[in-house]
Amino acid sequence: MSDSSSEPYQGLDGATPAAGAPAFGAAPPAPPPPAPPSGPIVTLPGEYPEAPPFQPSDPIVTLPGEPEVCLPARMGCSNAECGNPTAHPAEVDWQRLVSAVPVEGQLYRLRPKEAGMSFPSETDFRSAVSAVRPEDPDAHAISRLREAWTGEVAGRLADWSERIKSNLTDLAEGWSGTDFEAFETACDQTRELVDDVIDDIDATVTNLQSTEETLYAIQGGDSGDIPYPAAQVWIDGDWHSWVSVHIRPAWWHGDCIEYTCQDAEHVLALGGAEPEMATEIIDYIDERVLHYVDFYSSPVNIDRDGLDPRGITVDEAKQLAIVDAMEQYSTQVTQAFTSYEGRQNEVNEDIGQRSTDTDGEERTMRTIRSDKDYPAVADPAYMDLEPPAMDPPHGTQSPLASDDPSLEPPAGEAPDTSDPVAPEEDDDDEVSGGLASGGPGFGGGGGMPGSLPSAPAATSTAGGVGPGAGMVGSAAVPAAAAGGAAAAAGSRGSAAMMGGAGGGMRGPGSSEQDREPDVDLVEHENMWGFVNEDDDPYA
Amino acid sequence: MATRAFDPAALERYRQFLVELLEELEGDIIPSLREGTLKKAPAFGSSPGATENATVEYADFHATTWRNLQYLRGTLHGLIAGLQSAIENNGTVDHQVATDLLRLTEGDDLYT
Repeated sequence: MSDSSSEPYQGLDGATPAAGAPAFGAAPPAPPPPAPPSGPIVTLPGEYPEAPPFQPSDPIVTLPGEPEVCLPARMGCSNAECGNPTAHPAEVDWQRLVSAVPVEGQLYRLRPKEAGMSFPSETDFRSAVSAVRPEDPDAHAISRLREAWTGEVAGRLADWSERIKSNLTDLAEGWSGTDFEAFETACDQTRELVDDVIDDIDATVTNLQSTEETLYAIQGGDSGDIPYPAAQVWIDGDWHSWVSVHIRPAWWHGDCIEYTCQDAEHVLALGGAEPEMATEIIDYIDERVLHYVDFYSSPVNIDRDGLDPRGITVDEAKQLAIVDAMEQYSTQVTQAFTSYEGRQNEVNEDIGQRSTDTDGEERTMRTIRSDKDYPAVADPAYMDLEPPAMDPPHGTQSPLASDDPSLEPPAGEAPDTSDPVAPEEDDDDEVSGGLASGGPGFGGGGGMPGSLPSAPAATSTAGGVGPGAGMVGSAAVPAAAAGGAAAAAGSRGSAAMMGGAGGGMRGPGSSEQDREPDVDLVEHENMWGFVNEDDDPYA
Repeated sequence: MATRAFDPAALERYRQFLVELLEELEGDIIPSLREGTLKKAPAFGSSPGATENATVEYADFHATTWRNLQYLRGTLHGLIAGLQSAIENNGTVDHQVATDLLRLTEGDDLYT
C-alpha cells in the first residue's frame, strides 16, 4: 500500500519550518493552512508535469462512442433497385438506448416489445443487446458501482468520525497540554474530512440511483419490454406480381433476405397482416386466369370482345386477371402496407423518444465532489495523488443480425449454465450459440472482420454458405420467374415452378411454409382443375 | 489538565486505533477504487449525453474521491507519526509535527 512512501517526495517544501525552529510550544505564528486544494496541480506542483488533473488516463476517449467505426464497411443489397436503406433508420437510437447499463442481470430480462411486427431471433436479439454493451455488462452496471460506493467506501467510513472522537476521551486521560490540544484539533479536522467525503459519496450515490432508475424505466422497467426496430420491407415488382419481397432487419449486412411468392403468407404474417389475404389474392388471381383462359376458349366470346381469333395467351389472361385483382384488392393491400409503415414508424418513434430520454438523463447527471481540506499534519509522502485509470466499458460494437425475422418472440431464457456470466465457454464453435457477453462474434472487442464468424455478408456473394442464408442465390429468383412464364408470374403456380427451379430455396427457418414444389404444382393445388364457373362472380 | 500525568499507554492505544483505520483504508477502501469493483467505469452508453457529460462527471468524481482518500491516508500517517513522536518524547512532538499540528488552530472550528 505505501509503495509511494519509498519515493522521495518533492512537494510542499514551503511547509517545512526554518531550521532551528522551536521544537514545541514556541512555534512561530503558524503559516496559513494549506490552501483548499482545488486540484492536485495546486497542491503538488511537481506531481503533474503534463497530465491535466481530472482526466484519469484515457477512459473517456475509449468509452463507447459510435461503435460503427469498429466494423468493416457495411454492404447494402446488391439489387440496385432495392428500396431498403442499408442501415435501418432506428439503429443508432436503439444502440444509444440499450447501451446504457442501469442494473445487473438484464441480458435475459430484456425482450422485444410487442408491436404487431416480426421479432428478431433469440440469437440476434441477445447478440444485439450484448454487442452494444460492455463485455462484462454487470461489472459496469450503474447499480453495482453505486452499491460499491456505499458498501465499500462510504459505509466503511461511516463510523470513523464517531470513533475518532470517542477514542479521544481515552487519550485525554493520558495526555494533555498544547500538543494534545493540537492533536485533538487535527483529529477534528480529520473527522471533517471523513464526513465531507461521505457526504459527497452519499449525494453522488443518490444521483446515480436516480439515473439508474430513470434508465431502467426507459428500458422497460421490470417488464424488460424494449422496442426493437422492425424489419424494412421492399417489394421487387408490383404487389400483384412480385418477384420477391426484400426483408431487411436492422443491422443486416449484404443482400436483403428475399422471400418469393412461395412464402407469401409468411411474408404477410411477418408484416403483421393476415396471411389469409395472400392466399385469397393468389387464389383469386389463379381463378381469374383460368376463367379468362376458359372464357376465351369460346369463339363466341372472342368474337364478341373482338379478340384475336386464335384465342388469348396465358400472359394475356394474367393481365386481365390482374386488372380484376387490382380492382378487388388494391384498397386492402394499400391499407396493409400503410398499416405496416405506420406501425414501423411508431416503433421507430418509440425508440427515438427513449433514446432522447436516455440522452437527456445522462446529460443532466451530476456527481458531487470537491477536493477536501486536510490537516497540515498530513504527510504528503503518503498521498498517491494520481487517480488510477478506470476500466472503460469496452467491447461494445454495432450489432450484426444474421437470422430471418420470426413470428415468435425470443425465448428470453438464460442458457442452462451454472455460470451465466460466461456462457461463451460452452459455445465451442457453434456460431448461433453466442448470446451472452457478446458471444463469439462480439466478445473480442477488436472488431476485426475475420473475427465475425456469423457475418451475413458472406451470403451476398456465395449463395447459401453462411448461417441465415435464406436463398440459394438471388440469381435463382429472376431466372425461375422467367422460366415460369407459362403460368401467371404472380400466382402460386408460378411460385411452385420457381420452387422447382430453385429446389429447397428456403432455409430451415421457414419449414412451416415449405411446400414440396413438384407436388404443389402437379397435384396439391389442382390449379387447373378446380375452376367452378358457377362460383365465379366474374363468369 | 497541565498537571495530568503523561501515560504513553493511552497514546499507544490511540495510535493503534489509527493504525487500524489506516489498514482498512489502505487494505480495503482504496483498493476498491484502484483494482476492485470501483475500478470499472459505469456503462452510461453511447449517447452524446453519456460521453459528453455523465462519463466525465463520474470520472471526475472517481478521481476527486481518490484524492480525498489519499488526503485522508496522508493525514492518518501524519497523526500516527505525531503520536509516535509524542510517545518517544514524553508527550512532546518534534518541531515538524508540532508546527503542523498547531497550524490547525487557525482552521475552522466545526468540531472544536
